[in-house]
Amino acid sequence: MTVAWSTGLDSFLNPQDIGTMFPFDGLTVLFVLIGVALWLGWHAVQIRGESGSYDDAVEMYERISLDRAMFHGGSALIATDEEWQTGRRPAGGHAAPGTPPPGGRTGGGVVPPDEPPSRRERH
Amino acid sequence: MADPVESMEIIFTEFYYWITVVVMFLIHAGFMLYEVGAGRRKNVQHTLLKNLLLIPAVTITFFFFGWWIYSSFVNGPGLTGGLVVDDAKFAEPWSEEMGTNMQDRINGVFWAAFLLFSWTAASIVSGSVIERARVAGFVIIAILIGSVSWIIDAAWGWHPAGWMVQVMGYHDAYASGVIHAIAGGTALGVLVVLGPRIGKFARDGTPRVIPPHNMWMTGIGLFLIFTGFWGFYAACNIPIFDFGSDTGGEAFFTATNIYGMPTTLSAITFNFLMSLAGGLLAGYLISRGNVFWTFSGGLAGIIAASAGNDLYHPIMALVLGALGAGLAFKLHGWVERRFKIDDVVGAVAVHGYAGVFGVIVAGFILWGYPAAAPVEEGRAWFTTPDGWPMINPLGQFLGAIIMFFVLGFIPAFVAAKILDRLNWLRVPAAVEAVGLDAHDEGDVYPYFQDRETEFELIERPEAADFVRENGRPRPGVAERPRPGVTEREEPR
Repeated sequence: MTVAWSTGLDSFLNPQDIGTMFPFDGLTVLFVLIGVALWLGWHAVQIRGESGSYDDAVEMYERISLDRAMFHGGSALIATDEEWQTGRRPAGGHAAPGTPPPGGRTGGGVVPPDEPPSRRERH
Repeated sequence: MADPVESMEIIFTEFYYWITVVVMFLIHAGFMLYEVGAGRRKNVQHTLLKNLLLIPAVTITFFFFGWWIYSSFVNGPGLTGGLVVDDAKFAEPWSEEMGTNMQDRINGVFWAAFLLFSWTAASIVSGSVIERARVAGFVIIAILIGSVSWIIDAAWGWHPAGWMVQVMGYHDAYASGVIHAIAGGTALGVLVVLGPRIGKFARDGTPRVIPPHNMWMTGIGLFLIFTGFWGFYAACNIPIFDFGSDTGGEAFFTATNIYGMPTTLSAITFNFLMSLAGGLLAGYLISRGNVFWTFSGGLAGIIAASAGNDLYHPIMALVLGALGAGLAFKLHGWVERRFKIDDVVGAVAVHGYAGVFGVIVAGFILWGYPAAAPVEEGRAWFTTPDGWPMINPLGQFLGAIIMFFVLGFIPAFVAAKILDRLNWLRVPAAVEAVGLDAHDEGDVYPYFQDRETEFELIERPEAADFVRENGRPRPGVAERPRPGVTEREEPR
């Protein structure tokens, strides 16, 4: 019993007579249409996702102030620190949002005790 | 394939191009290292992703229409004839030859070789816009150059039947113009709209140095680009071709350039290395030992000689390489100071200016050589005694303008303007100031100590000002408010 519902190609014994070898070779226009739809769809999803991500970021930076955001300098802690997430001072007494760190990220040489945990404290 | 000799020739050619594709991957690996090293720590992962995503975006669009453009646009269309239809059917995306087919063995390999050139063109632009370009806008620009504008220029000036070759005698064997000048022009067109990074220019317009985060990575990246360039050079040749019979004589097999004109692997090996050497030596001297510009000088050197490296003497390649490197270095600094263009990796200079120089100078040095076999008698402005289109300075000069401005700068400028209006081109100022990785990916070196550079001490207060003012850092130029920042950042 043979099952040949895609190409009808069920033998390689006469290769000189073989042309296309991929399945469903009569549907190439449909393949292209599917491919173009996937391509354009990717752009739509990507643009929406990226715009939303930047909107969230700008909103977060407004909440905690740009100075403090830059103080972290791209730290991974930004996404996990409670203060960043909520805009409120977490239990433990971190500085209020909007308070720039004394001396900048490294300017003072020592991280003030009421600063959010930084990379230096963790490592 | 029943004939053994013919089969060997086909399989050798197929395998030859297939290997060039693999080697050319190194160009892209090199561009990634180069860009990542040149950027700052806070933008590394965004830079990686932005560059990486051009690969799938350009690949699928090159399948859909880029490869077809190469064969169908040789006459313009509308300049020396209409759209080529029948001879381009093999490249239509729904063609049976755009897939597994026992009657065609090489279409996919040629497609891939040209596709790798497309990646290279788009990747050149990528480096110049890092640290503030959005992925959304950049990917669209990458598709524009990778699957539309560069492949149109290839159909016009990098195809034996292309109208620029047949009419103007345009000659650009290893793509000084058709890849590098157009990519440099495209980068410039985008940069004019995109604007510089926050803090790049002081209020009085003086450019500041923004230190790369990892110089050795940038150097190794450029070394990988040099390595991949071997594959690029090889892919620009036809490795075995019966040039004698093709031109009505006795059988004579040789390698040819992409126009089907004879050259040798020996020639391009001499000239590639000598132009690299010239560029490195000059880059070192003119930049006073700056590592970045010594490496970049080597790249500019190769690009400056590439248009004629199929025919030059090695000492010519050496001198042209040196001149190209010097020109790129000097023009980069001048354009940066004069027009406030922030080209992070110097791509406009290294690829654009050196490429334009390479195309123009080839018109003088190779003046009189045949450019290609004629498709139709009487088309060429200047012909050799045999009646073939002749390489000449005018054709090369106009060709350089077409590559850099007509197909490079103008489409990119228009596209960037549209993308900017849609707010898809540049990240919000606050995101740029904090770092493009900060809100999403986090620090790329979580176990490393912080060390603040002198630039960052300047950048922080200025960035806050820029965000408050809702403008981009273009000194002396009034900026419209940027959506997304305007509504949120109130003056304090």
